[in-house]
Amino acid sequence: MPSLIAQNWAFGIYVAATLAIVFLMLGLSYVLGGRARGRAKNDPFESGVVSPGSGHLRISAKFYLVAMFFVIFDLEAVFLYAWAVSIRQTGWVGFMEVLVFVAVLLIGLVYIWRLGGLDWAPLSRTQRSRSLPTLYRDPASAPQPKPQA
Amino acid sequence: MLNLLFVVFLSPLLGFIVLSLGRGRISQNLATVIGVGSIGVSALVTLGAGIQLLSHMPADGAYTQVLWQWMEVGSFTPRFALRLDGLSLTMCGVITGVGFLIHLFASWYMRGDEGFTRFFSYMNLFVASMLFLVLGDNLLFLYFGWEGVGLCSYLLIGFWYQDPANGSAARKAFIVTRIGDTFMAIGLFLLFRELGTLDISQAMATAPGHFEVGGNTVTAIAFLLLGGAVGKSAQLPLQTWLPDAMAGPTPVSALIHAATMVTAGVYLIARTRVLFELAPLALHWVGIIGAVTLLIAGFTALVQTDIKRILAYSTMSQIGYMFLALGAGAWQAAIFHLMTHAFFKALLFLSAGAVILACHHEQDIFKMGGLRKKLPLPFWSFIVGGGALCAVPYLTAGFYSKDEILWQAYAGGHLNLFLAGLFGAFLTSIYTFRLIFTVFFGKEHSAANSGHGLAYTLPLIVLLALSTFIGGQIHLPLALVLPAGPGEGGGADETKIALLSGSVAVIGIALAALLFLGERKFVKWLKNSTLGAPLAAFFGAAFGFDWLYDKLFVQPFLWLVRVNKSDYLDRAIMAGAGSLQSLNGVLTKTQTGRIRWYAASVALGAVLVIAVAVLS
Amino acid sequence: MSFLYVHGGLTPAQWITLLPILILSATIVFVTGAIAIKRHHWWNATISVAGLNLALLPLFVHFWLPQLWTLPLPQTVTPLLGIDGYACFYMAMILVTALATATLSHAYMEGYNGNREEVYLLLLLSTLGGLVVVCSRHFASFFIGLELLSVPLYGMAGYLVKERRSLEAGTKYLVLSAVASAFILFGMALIYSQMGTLAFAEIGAHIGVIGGSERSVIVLGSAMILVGIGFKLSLSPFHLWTPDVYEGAPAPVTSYLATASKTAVFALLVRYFVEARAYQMPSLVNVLSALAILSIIFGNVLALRQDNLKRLLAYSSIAHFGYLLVAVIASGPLAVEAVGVYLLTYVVTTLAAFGVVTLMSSPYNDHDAEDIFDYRGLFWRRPYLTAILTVALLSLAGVPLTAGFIGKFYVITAGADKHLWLLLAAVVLGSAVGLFYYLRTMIQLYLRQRWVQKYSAPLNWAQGTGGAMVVLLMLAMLLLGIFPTPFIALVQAAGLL
Repeated sequence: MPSLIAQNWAFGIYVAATLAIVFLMLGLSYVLGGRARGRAKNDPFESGVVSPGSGHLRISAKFYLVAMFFVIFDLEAVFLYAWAVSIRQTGWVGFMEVLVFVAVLLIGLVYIWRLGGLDWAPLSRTQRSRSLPTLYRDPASAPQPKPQA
Repeated sequence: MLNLLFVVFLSPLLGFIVLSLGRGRISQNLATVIGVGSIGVSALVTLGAGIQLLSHMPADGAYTQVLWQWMEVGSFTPRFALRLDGLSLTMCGVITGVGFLIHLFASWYMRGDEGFTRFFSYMNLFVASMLFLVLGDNLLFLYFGWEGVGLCSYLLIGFWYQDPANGSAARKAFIVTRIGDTFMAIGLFLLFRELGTLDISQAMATAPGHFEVGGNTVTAIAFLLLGGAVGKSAQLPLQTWLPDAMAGPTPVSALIHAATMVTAGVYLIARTRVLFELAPLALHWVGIIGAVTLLIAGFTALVQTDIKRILAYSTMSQIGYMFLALGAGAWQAAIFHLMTHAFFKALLFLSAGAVILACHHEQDIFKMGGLRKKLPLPFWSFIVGGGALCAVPYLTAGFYSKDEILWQAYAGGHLNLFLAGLFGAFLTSIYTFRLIFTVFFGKEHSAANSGHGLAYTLPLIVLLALSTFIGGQIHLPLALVLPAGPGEGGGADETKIALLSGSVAVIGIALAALLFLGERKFVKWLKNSTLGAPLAAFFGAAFGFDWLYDKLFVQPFLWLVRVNKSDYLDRAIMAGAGSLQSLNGVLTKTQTGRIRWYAASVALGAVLVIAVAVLS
Repeated sequence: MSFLYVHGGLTPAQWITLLPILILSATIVFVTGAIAIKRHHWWNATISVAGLNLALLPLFVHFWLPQLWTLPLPQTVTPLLGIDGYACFYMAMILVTALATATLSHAYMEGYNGNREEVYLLLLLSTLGGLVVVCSRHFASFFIGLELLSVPLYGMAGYLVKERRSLEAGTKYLVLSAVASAFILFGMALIYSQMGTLAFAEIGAHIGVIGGSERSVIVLGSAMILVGIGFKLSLSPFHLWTPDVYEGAPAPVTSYLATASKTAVFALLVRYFVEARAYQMPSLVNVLSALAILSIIFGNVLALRQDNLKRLLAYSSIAHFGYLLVAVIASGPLAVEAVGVYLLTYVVTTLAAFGVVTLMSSPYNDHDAEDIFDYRGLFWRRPYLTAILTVALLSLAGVPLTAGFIGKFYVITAGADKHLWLLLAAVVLGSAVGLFYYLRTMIQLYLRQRWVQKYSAPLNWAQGTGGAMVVLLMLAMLLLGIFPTPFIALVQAAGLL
């Protein structure tokens, strides 16, 4: 037990000091800080101008989708760099592996493209009615099959 | 043919499955073909297998066919194998041969009955279970078949379930035999604990080295097995169910309660012979039980009026003979008598069925009479079958087996058993011919119309032939399975004993003729005398066993049931269930559906796991 | 093809043993392309099923027709994957499970209006993860496989996006799985910090000689990995997610979640315990014992009054994995055999039970047929389907002559062999409690119902592949129960030691 204390006393002091500083900062600002209450006090302050509208902005999901595709393909591309620097060591085996890798990526890209993931604007109604693959089909809007007996 | 052995019990089993699945969809003709045909196939295969076994007898006298090994976990290898030796071949022959004839007869007897298909499905299941019982090489499978035949017996006694009396007879049979079965199960557990195996041949081989003669454990095991045998074979003190079991259709009584199932107890004791030889006390008691049962049953049969009950008591007494033989060490004679008894008792029951049907379901013998002319075939069947039952010397099958038993009891020095058997033979003659004279002679009481057709005549004629001396000439291949009894192969006094027992039978028949042919004045006087009346009542009530058991067991049990009406004893168990339910209530509260709490629980669990890991 | 054999590449034998994984990977790419070309439910499902069958083929020949051809086992393919008989057995099991799920999904998704095809893609991906997990003998492949197994499952659980509960199930599984993965990663890091290696065998080689504080760090790390594995296997006290996810996920997905994913993780747990010699750390065995007892009690007690069949099966799976842990704790060759047999019987039974639920359900209704009430009197409407569910419930309860009995018998034998009486008492008590709720459910099937039920399987349920699959599963359950010897021999051939 004494050895435990001897070994860890510095750590103990460190923890105590950290706590002390936290309490000091929070406590002092609590004691010294000014207080004022009012209806307008809770409004967001925007250079003295009353802000219009809600803070909840609705951004098109397309942004999110495109961002995700970008990140995915960007990250995959990074692996090509790893191959590039070791191209001599890995030789034909490495080349074949990268070929397979790129082919898989390519099929993924085709998949996204065919499903309309890259289309910026929603498809027009006429296009949608053709039996093109879609990225997301709303079950509610699709024609209902006959319920089974 | 031997490798087709499994067909023997599979064929009735398939018959059962087809009949029970097709109930209500298949015609009576088709049901007959399936129900009777399946037994026929089984009988033919038994015949073929028997011939092959006997012509190429293996050194150890048995052919084993492993059908199926359930699994193999460590040293635990439960397997299902069939074992055919002289003993099981004899049993199989009786079960499938007599069983086939009875099935054939039943197709005539039961025709037009609402539950025709149901009847045959139960009968097929019974035959399958019975074959399972005798062919299984393992006491566990024997027990399985044992319970199977018990179940079928229950189902068939209560076959006409709309009459509550039949239902209660079925329940009585089931419960009383269950008592014996419980003893037997305990005996098997003990045996397994001692020997570590339930394989019959293995257990019988190791038992002499494991137990000392007359040791406590082996005596206990033998007595417990005897308990099972006594229950199934309707011997004292568990005999009360058999007369009531006559509530079932008559072919059922012939097959189950005369020819096969009730002799299972004899088979069991013969099968576990080694254990009984190691426990002489138990074997001694086997003989005594047999002797007492045969006397009590004989006295009771003297005063019964129901044709089937008389035959039931005679069955009881004949099985008493078999037990007596076992107790006297006359193993082969017991099995021999089992076989001949199956022939003539099946014959008697079937012809009794013919009589009953001819008299429009009348069973009281005093309401029949003079049926000799109208029902010639049943009459001659009764004469031959009754003669065999009484062991009329040299002419009937019963004589050869019963005489063998009496002689071996005498030669073995069991004088008390011998005398009891001799007196029993006397009683047998009287009550048997009392029945025959009353039913077939004297005045005609009722109109009767005879049956006809092959299904009616063939079984009776074949069984009739087998009940004469022809059946007595069958040589059973038991030499490798069961040891020779005392006095085997003849002795100085054998002819004397044969003449003695034969003359006792003839004197009994003559006495019966004197008493029951004609006006029966003496009998009527005796019945009304001060001494005779209470004695007749006492005999009529089968020595009051039903009354005694009612007072001793049934009433106290009902009293207990009434006392425990609000289920005090189950409270303790219910408390366990209740606490589980409340634990369920508490734990269900943890399923809040909140992901926050779930994540926290993972963290809490992690703390717990780490604590256990680091601290232990 | 000679370029494949150059220095650093794989040998022909290694290529051959990798066949199941390679075929499955190719199938995934193929199905992706097929969906991109044309959305066609039947076609895409058929391609997936064909791919799964093709991947199964070498394993099938290896196990059932050894006289024809066998895989050159064992093979070590890079330090990451080791393919031996054990791995092949579990690969086959996972592939069969995936096949069953695919056929059930086809029956189920027919009634769905949204995109039906991607479920096969996710299923195949997850299956690939399962194959990697059972072959892994290295922490890296273990983790990659585990994530590949789990991540598609989030999508599958939430596949019916417009269904509130399906989405909820997906989200819950995602978040909580991430927590579990974090624990696993942390545990691996701790072990690596002391051992300097991630390979199971090397850890096992060093574990005997390590002592002191290093050893306690390793124990800590192993305990954290157990937390993660415990979550994936839904052992108590990490079981809370199970019923919610089982209930919300579409029925075929639930069947996959309950069988393939758990089988893979359990197979890995056993391999880790054997190869990394975790048995030499008694404290870990203590942890497992605690988890086993808690799982048996919690699972059975929670199922006691459950009126939702999917939740009931979820709780029962918690208990079943508690029983399985008893076999793991017993250790030794018999234990590995017991685990194999038990998992086999459990997978077959659970698939059959969920298969019936699937055939009863359709995403067209707003939730699956999961209330026991929906099954009341099913016997009088769909007798054969009821027979299948009955056999499945009996097997879950461990009644003799069904598959479940063989598994339970094995577990008890393995436990009794090592005198684990406390654990065995828990198993026996748990089974007794279990009997109550299985039978309680069974009774409902046979009650006479007096009104028309909303939920019933379509009349032609047996004509599709899903129906055929369920019938096959029932036959397998009975076969396993009545004549288990060939299956036991199979498991014995796929031993680990």
